[in-house]
Amino acid sequence: MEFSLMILVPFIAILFEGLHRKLEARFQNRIGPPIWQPLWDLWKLWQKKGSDSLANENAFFRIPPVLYLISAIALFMFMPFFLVSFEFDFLLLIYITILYSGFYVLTAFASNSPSGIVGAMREIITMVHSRYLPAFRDLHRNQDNTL
Amino acid sequence: MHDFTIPFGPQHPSLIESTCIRVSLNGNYIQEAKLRPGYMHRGMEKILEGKNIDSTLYAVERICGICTYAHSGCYVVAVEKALKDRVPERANYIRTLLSELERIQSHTLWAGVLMHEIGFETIFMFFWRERELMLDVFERITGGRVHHNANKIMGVRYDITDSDIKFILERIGKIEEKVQGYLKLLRGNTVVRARLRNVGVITRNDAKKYCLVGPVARGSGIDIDVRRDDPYMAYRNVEFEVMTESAGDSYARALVRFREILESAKIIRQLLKNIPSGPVKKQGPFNIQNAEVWGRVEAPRGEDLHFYKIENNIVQRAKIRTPTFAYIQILEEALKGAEIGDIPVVVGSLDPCFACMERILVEKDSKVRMFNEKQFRRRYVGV
Repeated sequence: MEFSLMILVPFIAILFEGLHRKLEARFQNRIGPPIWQPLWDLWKLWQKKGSDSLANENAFFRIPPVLYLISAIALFMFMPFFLVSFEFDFLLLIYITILYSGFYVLTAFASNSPSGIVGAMREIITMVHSRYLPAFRDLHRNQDNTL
Repeated sequence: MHDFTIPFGPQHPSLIESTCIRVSLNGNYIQEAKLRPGYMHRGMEKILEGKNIDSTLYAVERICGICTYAHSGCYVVAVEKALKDRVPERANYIRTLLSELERIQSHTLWAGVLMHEIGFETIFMFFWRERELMLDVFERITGGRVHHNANKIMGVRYDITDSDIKFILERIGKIEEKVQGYLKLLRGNTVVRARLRNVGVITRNDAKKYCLVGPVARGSGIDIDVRRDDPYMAYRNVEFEVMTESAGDSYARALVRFREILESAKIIRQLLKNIPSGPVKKQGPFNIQNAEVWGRVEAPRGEDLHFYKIENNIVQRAKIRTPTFAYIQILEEALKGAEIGDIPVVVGSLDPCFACMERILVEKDSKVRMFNEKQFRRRYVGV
């Protein structure tokens, strides 16, 4: 059951992205792209050849995208979804989310561009401020309540 | 943290126009910013040389894509100083009307861009929707939405009818209501205030030292406006307030511009109420034997100054000081100490127009190269 759903995951994600873009456009007084536009974009991008700089030739730049994908799939397995059973562990969820963003940042750090490094630093700051500090603060508050 | 120097631009540095800002970073904060212009140079002053005074009018209008009318208005204000005749009063009123309509158009466009820079996409779309109201008015009066070609030496090309006046008043009412609503919304919005307050602060002293003009100076508390200080066209006959704010940050500059939109609507109402009847143009040809003239107008971004040396109806030398040319140097000062994420906000709040501003071109190998006019045109104008 879980694995059959896994096949549908990319399509569901793309559908939600398309719906989001359409809805946002309607809010903003625009018509917006078709709902399946992200899928067509993906299809177009898939036709393209890979291209990157030799300066980025190092393991830290090559491996993190794969780990990124793996952690994304793992994150899905631990998400509280309807019909998908899982053992809920909030800390584990946070841990995987950090890993997930961490690999993203690692790729930028490993790239040979100063803009990449500055962008990675900024991403970390945004990450900590917007996601983890509030999350841990809420966790702490909940513990206080139970006690 | 490490120190880095990264180029911000030249592709799409927060605005669509190309320019490069080299920023030295200390962690997340900017230690030093250096502007490197030269990507949008078109040699406008050179193009104007050798042109007849009538055909210069068309070239001048194409200096800027947003404040097109301000430049052609400035040109006629300058050139008419060399002629003894006086411009028909109705033409003066129509010129003032078009300038103020353009100010509203330009400020709504800018407001959209600033909101886009801070990530407020919805209000960006709304502002650009309201801008269409003004473009419709232009289309109805002059036939062109962006380039109007409305000016002539000693007059304007198009007259306005009573039905036009009704149409303009209706549109002005609409835009006033909308902008007041947005202003209320933005003033109450915490995120907007947090992104704009104390960002890119320009002190009053700095504003004086750098000789700033327009809304940038008025945001820093300097009470300066060519419309009031040196009235041209029909500004003598209207009453209006010059908007100033004392804080000098991006929020103050935004408020100045928002309130100017409402003030422009007020001016337009007065103009349409008191517009005199009569002809709108005088028959030419007009001859200027030998003259050196200058004129200045208040463009949406600030004081615009044109100087022309004319001999036998041919422009021998043109010097154009666009508003951005006057205040772009403050950008480096305003960026010092700001966060890297605030660069788009500071650049956006200054509302620079790089294509109008650029006067110099730096070759990569920095050797001196001479161009004749033909080579220059082929390389940079494409003609």
